[in-house]
Amino acid sequence: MFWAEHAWILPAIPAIAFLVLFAFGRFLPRGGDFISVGAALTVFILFFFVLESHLDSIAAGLGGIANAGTDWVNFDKFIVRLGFTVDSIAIVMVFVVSTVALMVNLYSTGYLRHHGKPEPRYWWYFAVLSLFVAAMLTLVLADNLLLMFVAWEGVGLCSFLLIGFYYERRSAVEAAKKAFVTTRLGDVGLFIGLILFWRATGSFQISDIIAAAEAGRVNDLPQVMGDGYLTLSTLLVFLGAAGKSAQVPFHVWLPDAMEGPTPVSALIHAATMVVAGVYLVARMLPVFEVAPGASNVVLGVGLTTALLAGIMALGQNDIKRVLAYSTVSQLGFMFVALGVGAVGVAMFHLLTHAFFKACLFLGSGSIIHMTEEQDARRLGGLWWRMPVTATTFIVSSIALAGIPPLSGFFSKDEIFTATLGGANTAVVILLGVAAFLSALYMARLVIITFFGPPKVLAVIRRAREADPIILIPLVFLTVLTFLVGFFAFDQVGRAFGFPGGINSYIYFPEPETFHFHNDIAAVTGTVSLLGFGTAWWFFWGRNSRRAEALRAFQPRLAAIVENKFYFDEAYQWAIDRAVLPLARIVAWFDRMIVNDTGINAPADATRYAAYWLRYHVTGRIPDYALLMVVGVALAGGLAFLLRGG
Amino acid sequence: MIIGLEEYLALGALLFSLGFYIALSKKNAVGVLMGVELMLNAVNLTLIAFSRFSTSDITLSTQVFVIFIIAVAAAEVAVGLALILVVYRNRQTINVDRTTLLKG
Amino acid sequence: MDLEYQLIVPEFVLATLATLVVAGALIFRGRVRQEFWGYATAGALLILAILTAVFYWDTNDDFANVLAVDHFTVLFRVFFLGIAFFTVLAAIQFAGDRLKNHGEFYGLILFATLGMMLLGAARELLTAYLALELLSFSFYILVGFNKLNPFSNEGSLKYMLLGAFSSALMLYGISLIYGVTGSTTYSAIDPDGSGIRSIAGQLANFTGVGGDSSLPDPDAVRPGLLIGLILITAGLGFKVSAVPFHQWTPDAYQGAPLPITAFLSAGGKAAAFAFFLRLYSEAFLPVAAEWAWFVAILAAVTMITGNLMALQQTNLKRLMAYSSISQVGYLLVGIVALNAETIGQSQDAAAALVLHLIGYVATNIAVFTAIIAFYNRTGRDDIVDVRGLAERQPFLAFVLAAGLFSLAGMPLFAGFATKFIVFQVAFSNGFLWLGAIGVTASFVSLYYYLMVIKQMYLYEPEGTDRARFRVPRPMALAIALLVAGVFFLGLYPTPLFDVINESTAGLFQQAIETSASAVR
Repeated sequence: MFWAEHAWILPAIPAIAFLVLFAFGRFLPRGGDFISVGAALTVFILFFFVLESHLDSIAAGLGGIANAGTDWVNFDKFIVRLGFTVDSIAIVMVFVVSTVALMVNLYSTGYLRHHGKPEPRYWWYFAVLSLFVAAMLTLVLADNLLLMFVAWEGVGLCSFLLIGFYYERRSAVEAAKKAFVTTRLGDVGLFIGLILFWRATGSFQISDIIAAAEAGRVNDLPQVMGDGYLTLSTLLVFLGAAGKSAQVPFHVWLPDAMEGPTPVSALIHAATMVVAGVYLVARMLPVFEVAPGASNVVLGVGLTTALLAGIMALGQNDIKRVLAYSTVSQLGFMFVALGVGAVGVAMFHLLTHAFFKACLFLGSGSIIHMTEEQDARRLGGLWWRMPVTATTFIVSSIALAGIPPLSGFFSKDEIFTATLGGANTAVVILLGVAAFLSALYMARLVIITFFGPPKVLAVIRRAREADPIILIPLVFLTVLTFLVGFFAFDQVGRAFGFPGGINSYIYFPEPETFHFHNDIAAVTGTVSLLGFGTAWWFFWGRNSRRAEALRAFQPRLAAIVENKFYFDEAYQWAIDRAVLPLARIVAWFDRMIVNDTGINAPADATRYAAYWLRYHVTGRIPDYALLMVVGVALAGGLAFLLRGG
Repeated sequence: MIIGLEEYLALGALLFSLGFYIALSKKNAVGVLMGVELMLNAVNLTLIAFSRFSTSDITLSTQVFVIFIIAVAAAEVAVGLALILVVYRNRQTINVDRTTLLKG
Repeated sequence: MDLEYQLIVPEFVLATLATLVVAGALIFRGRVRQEFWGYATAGALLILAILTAVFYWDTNDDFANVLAVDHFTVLFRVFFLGIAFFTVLAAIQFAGDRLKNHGEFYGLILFATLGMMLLGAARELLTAYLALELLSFSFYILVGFNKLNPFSNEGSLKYMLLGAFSSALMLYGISLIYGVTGSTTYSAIDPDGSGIRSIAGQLANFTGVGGDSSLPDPDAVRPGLLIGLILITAGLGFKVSAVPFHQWTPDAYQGAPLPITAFLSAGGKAAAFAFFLRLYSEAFLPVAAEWAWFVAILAAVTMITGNLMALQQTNLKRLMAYSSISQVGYLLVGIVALNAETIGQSQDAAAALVLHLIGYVATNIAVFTAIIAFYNRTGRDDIVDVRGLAERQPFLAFVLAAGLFSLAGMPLFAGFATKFIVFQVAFSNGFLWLGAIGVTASFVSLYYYLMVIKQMYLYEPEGTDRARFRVPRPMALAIALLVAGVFFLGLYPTPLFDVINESTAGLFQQAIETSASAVR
């Protein structure tokens, strides 16, 4: 059990790497990138030790949950633990984080160079990357909400710093600001939620909160929180999760976050940080289950997001933006799974999605790095020029679309099975539409990027296969995309040490074994193929005139899709017309009432008092001594008055 | 009349008050220092009086205390006069009303 | 009587070291580089601190019933040696550039440290008085060490005359307390067995809990007790510079050579508080109600006046002086909170006080070392002079900003965590109003700390000297260590807090035994 109990070492390693890079990074050869890569590699290797000790404890019937830690603050009634917990959900996340972090670290050493020369602030990039890995691992392993919240803000900070990495570009600065502010909105909710939970239970420990929420509902203990209080706190926590995981209506920040370097998009905005919301809900799912209505909200938000983001992805032409909307949509799928209480399924989709989406982003990075072009309409015909990139990209796209036997098929299939069991038919049908859309937009992206004749000659001339250091992560992730899907099977799970497959490994409330339902599989497979077929019908070669015709037939509808349902415009309008006027009124009130009379008056009084008070320090020794004597005399007088001498 | 503890204490208090009156009113830094010495002697008188009239059996330690206070007071004068001398060298005055470079 | 001299070996070593440095510098005058004495002193202090921590931590003994050698003593021994170490390290370049007679300078620093160590260990009033005077005399001379500078002379003169005056007040208080209790020993470790009369044992009569009945009628001597407590509190108030006994502080701070200002604000204050805490918890705890109100008023007035006066300052040293006065206000809140319902709560208060003290001292030394490094280069110490420091020396600017934020009590830094705990104690011991004043005062303090930070970060450098400059390696290392400590304390105070809890528990041994015997 050593490694499971000492899992805190995992975040400690990149944290140390960050400190070293922060202090000395700019003086080290190669900007100290080897320190960051080394830290990621160590974490990746240590993960297997943790996994082994965790699986051993399951095999030994100890349940596989390891807690360790120490008191962070322990004073009076205010106790916060610096506690870490390893359980099956955390293991999956650590696997994702450590693997993708290592791949992205390696990839970045190639990506952030041009003709062998590192970009400016190269060392700073790796420092923040290490800090991100440390914060993300802390978030995953934290056993209490306050520590998790600290790490939560930590990853938000790193995301902000890395989106704004190219701060010479105004759009990058704006995007960083937008991401930070939008997620902060949700974070405020999360913070209030966790304070509410603390008020009711006196603890930040997740296990205590779950026990308190279940008290009176699933066991015989007296109820701690009323239904309304519980639902309110739970939904506030979900607000934080939705903000971080870019669910409607918070989804607007994620596509803009693509201003950051592409490897960052792969790590933070596809595989790890954005799934923190899913992870948080998965951790607290027992609370969501007992809070009346909370699960339905999760389900509704997830479904809406999956559909809307799928449609929005269709109208995009920037490769990375298509992938960003696709991420939003897939996160919606995960929330749907959580909404029906299938935590294992949600985590399974999180796992498969992390690998194929990271691979897709890194592939798009490879294209952007070589061609310096990310508008899919100006690419085309890259298939022959960049065969490795193209192959990995296409395989991952097929996985995302849900074609067997790639991983996306299994996880999506599981989501459908879970939804069929836990929600009504309309949900399943809408989810089917979302799945169809996934296949459609991915196929469209692949067709216009890699096939057909080259559109711009200058771009295609630059297109060559990238350095091996960029291709190795692509291939590695593609292999994982093949493999992880089979984790659902009992036999595969048994081989790796978790018999019964991933659904018996992570479960709530009881384990389930994966059954391959032929009918469901056939339907989902068909839906995906249908999506591919539709994409071929509209976008392949000269077929694209059909897409043009469709757009000409319904120009309004096309405009709505291309403008992402005018979410950004609506927000801007709301800010201009509602928030700013209100802010002006508040500002006036603030200036006239609060500032001039409320703040300035006491401030002036303070300053005035201080001004006069100054004269008592005259510089004369007798005056100083006199004040001392006066002080003593006054105290003596008071003593006889107060203590009745 | 019989001179008891009260009389000694009263004398000590009187001496102490005189001492701090001197310390507060003298313009000359040496005078201030002498006032403080008087206060210390008032303390000595009080302590000795207490030890004389004490019911405690370990009065010796108080007398030792007084000896130490006398010794420390002597050292205080040495340090004090040295500092006053340095001030005089630099400023040609030891009037405490005029050593007010530092204030506020 | 068998005297166990091995208990006070660190004090002997320190006294020998001080003598050797003074004598050595005289003997080898001109033959050894002046810096040598600085580095030798710093090295010896570091080694002594480590050895003391290693060899004495588990000791829980008593030297001739005048010096306690318990966890508390050892914690403060190491703490004072550490303060002296960092001060000497910060002083080396300054002394080389601007002072003469280095042997005496470092020797006096060592003597002052010896005084601090004895003061923290003393459990008898005569011993404490002698230690206090050893400390004070060393400081009188150190403040005036820059003989040719009229500011230095004047600060020293004021400090000395007023210090003697306050000593007289305190001694008069001590004599009255002796008259009331017939003892100068704080408390007897074993109140039943040893038969030693102690202040705490006698004062217990006043509360009717145990104690010696040979005392005269408590009501008859009550005035003596009250006046004695007030006078002792006043004398201590002078040493820690609590308002209204504070006025020497800015003058002495401004006049003194900068490293001595740092030492005075860190070591002098810490030693006085070690004495304060031990005396008031070991000896005066039985009559806590009689003095707590007075200390509470002192704390309130100190927090308010210190912060208001700081608003007006233009000189960095004076600003830091008033800032340290306001910090004393927060620390006094910890003393006030000793007056609690249960002994456990008093223990919490003592631990909180020591934690805040350590956080404050670490921060203050970091800030002062940064100011010294700046002064070494520019020879200026007004607030406007740090203008544009962020461009000229980003590291120093960062350290100053971090230190000032910590003093203001911002989260992330030591000042927040420790102040939080002190106020928490005040709140839970029923001193809500005091905590409220403290929080308000902290807000005011942010204003003047931000004034300095604004100068460093928002303005361009001015004047003829705008070039970047370097900080000597040893100094930079010392500053980096201290700032790391400040962050560590702010983020994770628990380990140090556990150590402190263990140390301060010994102060309440007598109180626990008395209340236990009263129950019997």
